[in-house]
Amino acid sequence: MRLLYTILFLTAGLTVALPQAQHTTKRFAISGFVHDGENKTSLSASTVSLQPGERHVQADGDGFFQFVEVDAGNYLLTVNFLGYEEMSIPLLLVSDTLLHLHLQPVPFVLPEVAVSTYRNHSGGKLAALPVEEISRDYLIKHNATNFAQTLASVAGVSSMDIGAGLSKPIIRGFGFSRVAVVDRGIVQQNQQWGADHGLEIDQYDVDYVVVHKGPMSLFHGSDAMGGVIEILPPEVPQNDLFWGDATLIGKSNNDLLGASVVASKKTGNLFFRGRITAQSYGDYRMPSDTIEYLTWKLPVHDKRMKNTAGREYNLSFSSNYAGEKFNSWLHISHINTKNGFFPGAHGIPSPGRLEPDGAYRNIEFPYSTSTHFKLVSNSELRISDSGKMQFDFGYQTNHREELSQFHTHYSNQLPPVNEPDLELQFKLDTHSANVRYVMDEGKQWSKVFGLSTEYQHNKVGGYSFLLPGFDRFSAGAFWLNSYKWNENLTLMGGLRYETGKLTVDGFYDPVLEAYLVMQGYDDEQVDLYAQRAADINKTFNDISGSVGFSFVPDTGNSLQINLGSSFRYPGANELASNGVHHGAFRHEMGNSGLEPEKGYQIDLDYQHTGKKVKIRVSPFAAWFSNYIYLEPTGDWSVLPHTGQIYRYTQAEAFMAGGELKVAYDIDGSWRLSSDVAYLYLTNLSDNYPLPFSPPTAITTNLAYAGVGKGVMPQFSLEIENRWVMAQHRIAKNEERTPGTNLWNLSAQAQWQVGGRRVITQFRTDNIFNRAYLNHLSFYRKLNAPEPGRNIQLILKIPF
Amino acid sequence: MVFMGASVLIACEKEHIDDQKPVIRVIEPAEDEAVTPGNALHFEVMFSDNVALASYKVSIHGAFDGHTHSHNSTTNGLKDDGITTRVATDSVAFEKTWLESDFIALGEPPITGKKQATVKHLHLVIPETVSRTVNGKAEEIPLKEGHYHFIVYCSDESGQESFVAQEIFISYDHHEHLH
Repeated sequence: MRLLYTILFLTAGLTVALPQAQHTTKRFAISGFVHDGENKTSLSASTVSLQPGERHVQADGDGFFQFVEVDAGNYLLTVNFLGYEEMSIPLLLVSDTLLHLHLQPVPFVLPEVAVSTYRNHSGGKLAALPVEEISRDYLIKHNATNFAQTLASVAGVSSMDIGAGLSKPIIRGFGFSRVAVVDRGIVQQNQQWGADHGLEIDQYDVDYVVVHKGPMSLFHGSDAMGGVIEILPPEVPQNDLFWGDATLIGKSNNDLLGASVVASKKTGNLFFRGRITAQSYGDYRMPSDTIEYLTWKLPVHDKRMKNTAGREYNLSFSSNYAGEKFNSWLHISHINTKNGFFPGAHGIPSPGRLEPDGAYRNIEFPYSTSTHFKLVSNSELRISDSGKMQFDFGYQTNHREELSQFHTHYSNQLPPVNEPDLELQFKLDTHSANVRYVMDEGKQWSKVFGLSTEYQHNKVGGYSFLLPGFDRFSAGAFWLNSYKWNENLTLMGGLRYETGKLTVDGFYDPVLEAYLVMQGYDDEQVDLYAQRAADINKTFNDISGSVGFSFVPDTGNSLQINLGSSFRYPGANELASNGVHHGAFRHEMGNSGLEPEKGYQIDLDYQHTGKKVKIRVSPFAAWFSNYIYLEPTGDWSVLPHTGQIYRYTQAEAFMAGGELKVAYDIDGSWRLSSDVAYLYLTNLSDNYPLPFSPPTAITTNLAYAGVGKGVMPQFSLEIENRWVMAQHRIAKNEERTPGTNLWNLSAQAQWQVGGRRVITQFRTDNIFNRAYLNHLSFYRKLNAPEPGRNIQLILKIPF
Repeated sequence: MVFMGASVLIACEKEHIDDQKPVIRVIEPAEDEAVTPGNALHFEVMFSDNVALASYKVSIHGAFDGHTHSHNSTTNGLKDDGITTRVATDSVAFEKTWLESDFIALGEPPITGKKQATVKHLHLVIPETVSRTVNGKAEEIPLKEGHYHFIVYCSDESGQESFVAQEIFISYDHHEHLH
């Protein structure tokens, strides 16, 4: 058995006993003992495999294993044991053989974000942009309720949270449709434009993720302007194996209980993996019993945010065929979530709606549900030593609903006969196809030529209206180059042409029309409001590109500089929506005159890796010729529950900032590290900051990794301080958010219990139960504090 | 290099932006003031801004929506909103928005450009019945009794906006409403 997610090195100690007396037959036995190389204890239940022959055995309670009736010849014997380095030894079998194998414990890697160069699946590095590679180990260590929140521990990444359950990722202040999540080669398309939508990804099903900071439109088209979160397929072991693990999760703050079970099998050219995840949580606890909102003090009974409970059920399946010339993956996943909304966040809160409902795990109105089904196929056909074709095909369907007991401001609106409480419904189908031809791979000048297409169809329903139905088609062609100037210098650059077509289904709201007529407004006014979306037929074109270099003068230093452009097509909400956004209490009006957003960005990334000190600095600056944002018009909306009309507008914008990270290895066990993320985002037309600017944050942590004896062979401890500055740079009508200082503690250990390795991950967030506000939180505008102290335990039991 | 560029820009930014929202102080109606349909609500509000006010809007609408249950309880001096004395189906929630232009038409001076303004002695009439058209048939329906939100919005010249919300109680027999 092996620790799947740890990179294994082969540095094992080995003693091979002298061959015993020769037998006359040509068949022999291979037997042996597996020991711990440090304390000599036997390692029972280690997996031993013999190639060729595909034979596998498990060592018994004394660490003993045996293969009998083995033909004479050449073999490779491999021993795996979780938490130890894999050992492979070549054998020439000419007699019965007894082996004593001493496995070395894996130096318990302090999970940090790896800072190596990016290995994308076309091989080689194509953009000189800063990336953060994040392993399974890091994800478990920083595990939060969902994937986006877990990633927010990476410098430069934040999450926009809706309570404790749903979140969407923000990279350097770019969020919503300005960040793309690429899951196994396909851009995930969900309702990312919406403020109350959370990214639908099962965080336990992610083995390896690469966060690209910077313009990535060249690679992934529209939406990848601020960065890309790229989820890579699992690593396939070389040997035939069956393995898996069960992960159990418990969190105190919202009484979360969760489990994720994975089973994998590798046999010959084939690999299969299935995973099932379920988690359920109650209303989150906050360190305050009142929320001060407007002139009111709203009670928070038992310090629990009413109706913020949720649950999630996920299934996924992956299979791989790896032939000599052809390699193919198939991934199928289904995410299903249900999350309550704090009743105060929909409409003006009144205390009656915040009365306890007698339970903490129930999900009452209002709530949202979402399902995301995804079918992805990635194939690679090798044409020559340096040439290959790659194909990605994806089909995904996202179905999101918001349910709220039927209510209306319009006395003439009656509840629908079917599903009377279905307020909003969005059904988005996306078909994607990418083809790439990789030429001269590994040579001085390697090239990738690619085509990608995507077709989206969005349908809407519900008794309210927010986003119109639409169809969007886009197609792009790109040409990427990597030129190795010399051993130290590589130049990279590429161009992409993209064209897109968006058709929006207009919607004229007869109920609103009747209401406005009744209120005595004239025809012109009535039309202005009742036309909830205009019919739109737009075609977009864009050329984007990037040039950069990567300079690695020696193993300790590297520098990359990239100059890139990015673009984004305006969304249907930005072009055509018209009405009160119930979550934002704002009348938002689309603007059919919007042009594609266009940005130009320079990125620098310098890394120094010394013996004890690691430094990384990655600053950037960007200029947008026409950044799309909501501008207050100064005209009052005549609709209830809203103030001015906000209209989507385009303006020049400037963004700058970056991350600085320093890590110091005090000795083999202790490490101190710190990172700072800073952003400066400004609308150049009026000098106001851009909305949703993440505040400056400094994270410092002191970690200890140790090797123990007996039942706990390995452990690590980490204390973390997260100092978030106040955010005073706010867009019009945003609220200033005070800073906070949080302490977190985590401890990870590997246990040896009855011949099994068990991993525990213990974590306490917000140790001092401090009440604080998150500038990016959906509940920020209500002044609702973030979750208080959380104690969590994750138990991972491999089998 | 890029950081330097950023700091230069920060230094230049001293060009002042108005980041203060206007302030609204509602003098009347009082929180949870009761009003009988057919009567007027007395309205007096003070607006102020650090630079210059732009305009205001007043809105009354039912505070009945969206929640799963109703309790009769009192918390922090604020009441639950589900109390009605009539069956909901034969009454209708009253809803009305007044823009500043409506008040100007009544002779109130505009607040645009002022740093401080008081709008007072205005009477917001709560009608006795509401007309509704269902299937082409117009009918007069009594107002739904209970708690309503009374919201005042105010904007300044830079587009900053603030609002205050309080509750009023509409009842045909407001003596039934216990404080």
